[in-house]
Amino acid sequence: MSPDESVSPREVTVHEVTVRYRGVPALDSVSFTLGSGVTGLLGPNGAGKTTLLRTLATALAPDAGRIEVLGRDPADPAQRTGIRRRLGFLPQDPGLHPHFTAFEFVDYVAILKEITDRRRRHDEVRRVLEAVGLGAERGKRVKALSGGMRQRVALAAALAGDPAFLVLDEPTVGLDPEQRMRFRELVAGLGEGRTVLLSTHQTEDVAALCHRVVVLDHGAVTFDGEPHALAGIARGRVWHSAERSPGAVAGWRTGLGVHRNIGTAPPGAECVEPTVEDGYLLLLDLAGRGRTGTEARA
Amino acid sequence: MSRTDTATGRARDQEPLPRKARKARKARKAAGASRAATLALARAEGLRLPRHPAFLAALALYLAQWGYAAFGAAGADRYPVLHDEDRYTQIPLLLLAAGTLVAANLAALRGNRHGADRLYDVLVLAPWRRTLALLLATTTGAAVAVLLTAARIAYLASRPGAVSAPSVAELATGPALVLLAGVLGVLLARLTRSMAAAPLTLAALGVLTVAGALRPTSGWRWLGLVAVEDEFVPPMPSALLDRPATAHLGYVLALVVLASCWALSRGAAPRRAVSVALALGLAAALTSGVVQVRSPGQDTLAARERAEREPATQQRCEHRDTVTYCAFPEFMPRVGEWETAVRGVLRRLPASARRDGYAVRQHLFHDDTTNGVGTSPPLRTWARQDRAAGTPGAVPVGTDWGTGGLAGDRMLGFAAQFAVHALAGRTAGHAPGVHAAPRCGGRAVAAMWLAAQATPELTEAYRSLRERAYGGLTVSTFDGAGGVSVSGPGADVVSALLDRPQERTAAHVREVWAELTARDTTTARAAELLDVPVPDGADEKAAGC
Repeated sequence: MSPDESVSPREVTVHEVTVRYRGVPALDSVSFTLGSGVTGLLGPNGAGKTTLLRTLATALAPDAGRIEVLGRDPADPAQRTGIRRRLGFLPQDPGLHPHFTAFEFVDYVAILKEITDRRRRHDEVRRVLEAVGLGAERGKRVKALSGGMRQRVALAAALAGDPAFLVLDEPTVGLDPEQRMRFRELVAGLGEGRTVLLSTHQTEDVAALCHRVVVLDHGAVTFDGEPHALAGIARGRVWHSAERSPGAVAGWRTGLGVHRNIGTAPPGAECVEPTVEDGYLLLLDLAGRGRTGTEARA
Repeated sequence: MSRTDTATGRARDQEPLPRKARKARKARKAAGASRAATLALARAEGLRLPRHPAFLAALALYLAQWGYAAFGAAGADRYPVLHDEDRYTQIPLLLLAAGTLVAANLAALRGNRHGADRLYDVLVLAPWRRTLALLLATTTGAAVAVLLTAARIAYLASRPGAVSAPSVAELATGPALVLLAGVLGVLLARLTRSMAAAPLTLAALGVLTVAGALRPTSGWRWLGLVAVEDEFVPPMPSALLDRPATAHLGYVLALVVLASCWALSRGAAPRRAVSVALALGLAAALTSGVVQVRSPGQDTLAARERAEREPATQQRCEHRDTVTYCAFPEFMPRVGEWETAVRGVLRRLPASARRDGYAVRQHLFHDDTTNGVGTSPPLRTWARQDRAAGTPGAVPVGTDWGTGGLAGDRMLGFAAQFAVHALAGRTAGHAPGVHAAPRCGGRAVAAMWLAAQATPELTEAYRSLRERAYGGLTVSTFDGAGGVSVSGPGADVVSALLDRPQERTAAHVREVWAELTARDTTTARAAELLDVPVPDGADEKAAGC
C-alpha cells in the first residue's frame, strides 16, 4: 500500500471489520471490496449500513479488521487525511445551514476540504452546483429550497474537490418520485471514474444505478454481487395468485388486482420474473431463518 | 559516488533520506494547506459574525445609546475631557461584547445544531483548526469595536471644548473585551452544546460588572471586565487618575489567550503549542491581575490633595487682555471658553467700573458626602495661594464645562460669579467667596444680567434655568458659598432686559450704572431705571429682602 499521491488506486477494501457499540457488534467481520462504479448497499434499519459508511468515511475506527481506502490506511493519521482529501460524503441527514445560501454552504464545505485558493474554490463551487442543476439557485438560502434541491446542495458539497470515493447515505429519503428520478440521473453519472457507495432502501435505485450490490443484515454481509444475481435468488420463488398464498414469506396485492407472492412457490404456481426487491426480501427472510451470508452469496 | 558509498555501507544509512525528505515536504505542504484553510474559514466566519442578528441587535443598541448620550441624556452638553471619555467607551461596548459572545457561540454550535458535524468530522480540516478559525473570526467583532471606539473618540475630540488626550490602553480595552466575549462564546460551545450557556454567562458577567460598579474605589473591581470610577467626581488631570489601564488591558488579553487555549485543547490541538501559550497566558494573567488590583495609592491621594489645595504649583497661566487665566495644563484649551464668557461680562461694564488684574483660576474640588457629611472647599487656602501666585481674588472655575442642562448652569454660575466680582471690584486678599453675592436689589439684577447676556449660550442657560426655577433664582458657584441669587421680581427684570436688543440695553445700563449698582437700590427702582415694568413684589424691603 502506498499513500503516494501519484498512485491513486480506486479500490476500497474492507477486511474482517468489526465495529462495536457498547460491546454490541454493529458490524461483525464484514469483508468486501469496492471498485470503480456505483455499488449499492442495501439492508434493513439497524443492519449497520450507516456504521459501515461512517467507518469508510473515516469517522469511525473499526474495533477489529482492516480498511484500505484508495490505497491508504485510515488508521494512520496522515493517510486518513489523505483519504479525506479524496472523499465525498453525503450523510443521511446532511445538516445544511438554513441561513446559508447554496453557494455559501458548498463554499464552506470546500474550505473544510482545504480547497484554499479562493478563485479556484469559487470556480469549483460553481461547477458542482451546475453539475447538480442548481446553478441558477446558488444565491438562494437553503431554507428557501425544496427538499430535493437541498439534497442536491448536499450532493454538490460532497462532490466539491472532485472526490475519487463518494459515500452516499440514503440520499433519496424524503424525495418525491420526480426528485428521486432527477437524483438518480445525477448519481448515474458519478460512477464513471470514481468509486461510489450508495446506501439506500430503494431497490429500484439499486437496479437502475448499481453495477453491484452489497446486502448487510445484522452487521454482516449477506449478499455481495450484481443486482441481477440478487434478483436471481428469487427466481422461481415469485408468483402471482388471486389470493395471498399461505406459503409466501411476503406478498401484497398489486394494482392489477392479483397477489404477488414471494417464498416457496406451491406446485403449479405461475412464477414471474423476479426483481431486485424480490431477491432482497427473500434474502432477508432467509437470513432471518438463520442462514448464513456465505450460503446466500451469489 | 553513491556506488562507493554503497560499498562502504553508507548508502544503507542514506537511502531512506530522500523518502524521508519527500515525506517531510509533503507534511509541510499539508500543514501549509491546513493553515491556509484555517485562515479561509476564519475569513468566512469573520464575515458572517457581524451579520449575525445578535451582533446587529447589539450594534443597534450601541448606536442608540450613543445617539441618546449625544442628544438626549443629562450631561450631553458637557464638554468632553478625553482622558475620562476614553474609559467611558468601554461600558457601551459591553453591549457589542454580549452580541459577539452570542453570535460566536451560535456559530461554534452551528454544526451541532444543524447536524452538520457528521459531515464536518470527515472533512480534511481538523476540529481544532475549525475552533482556531472561529477564535480568529471573533477579531472582526473586535475590529468593529475598534472602529466604533475610534469614531466615538474622534467625534468627542472634534466637539467644541474637548480637552486632553485619551489613553490608548483605555481605548483598546473595549475592543479587547469584545474579543474576550467572542472567545468565551467559542469556549462555551466547546464545553457544552447547550444554547443556554451563553445567556447564563452573560447574566453572570452582568452581575460581576454591576458589583464592580457598586464599589468604585475597591481595587478588586479590576478583576472584572470594566473598572468603573466614581463618576460623580469632576474631571481631574490625567496624572491624578492612577488607573492601571495598561495592566488591565494586559489582563483582558491574557484572559483571551487562556480562554482560547482552553477552547483549542477541547479540539485536540497540538498539545505542546497549547501548553506553551497556556503557560504564557497564565503568567500574564497573574502578573497583570496582581498589578492592577489596587486602589489609588497614597502618593496619588497626596497628589490629589495637593492639586486641590495648592493648584497654582501645578498650573499654567495665560494673560488675555486684563485677565489672567490659570489652569491645569491639559485644561488650557478651556481658557478660550472662559474668556468668551468673561469678555461678554466685561464689555458691558462702564469704563469707570473696569479694573486691571482680573484672574480666573481652575480648581479641583469634590464635595465628598460618602460619609454623610458634606465638605467645603478650602477657600482661605485658595485665597492665600492666589495671593502668593500673583492672582489675588481669582474667580474659581471647575474642570467641568459645557452648555445646556447642568453644564449650562455651571457655566452661568461662573459668569455670574465673575460678574459679582466685577461689580465689587478687585479687592486684594479677598477669598473667592468673600465677595458676598447680592441676593436682591439693583446689584443682583445687574450681576445676573451681566452674566446672562455675555454669550448666546449663557442667555440660553439663564432662560433654561428660569423655566425650571420657581420664584427666585440661584445659580450655584464653584466656591460653594451659596451661589449667586436674584429674587423672583429681579429675575423678571433680567428676563425683560434679555428680551430687548442688547446693545441698546447695554447703553442704558451704562447710563444708570452708578444708581443701579448702589447698595440701596431696590429691584423696583432698578426696573424703573431700566424702563422695565415693575414686577409684583419688587419692593424687597416689604418682602423682607
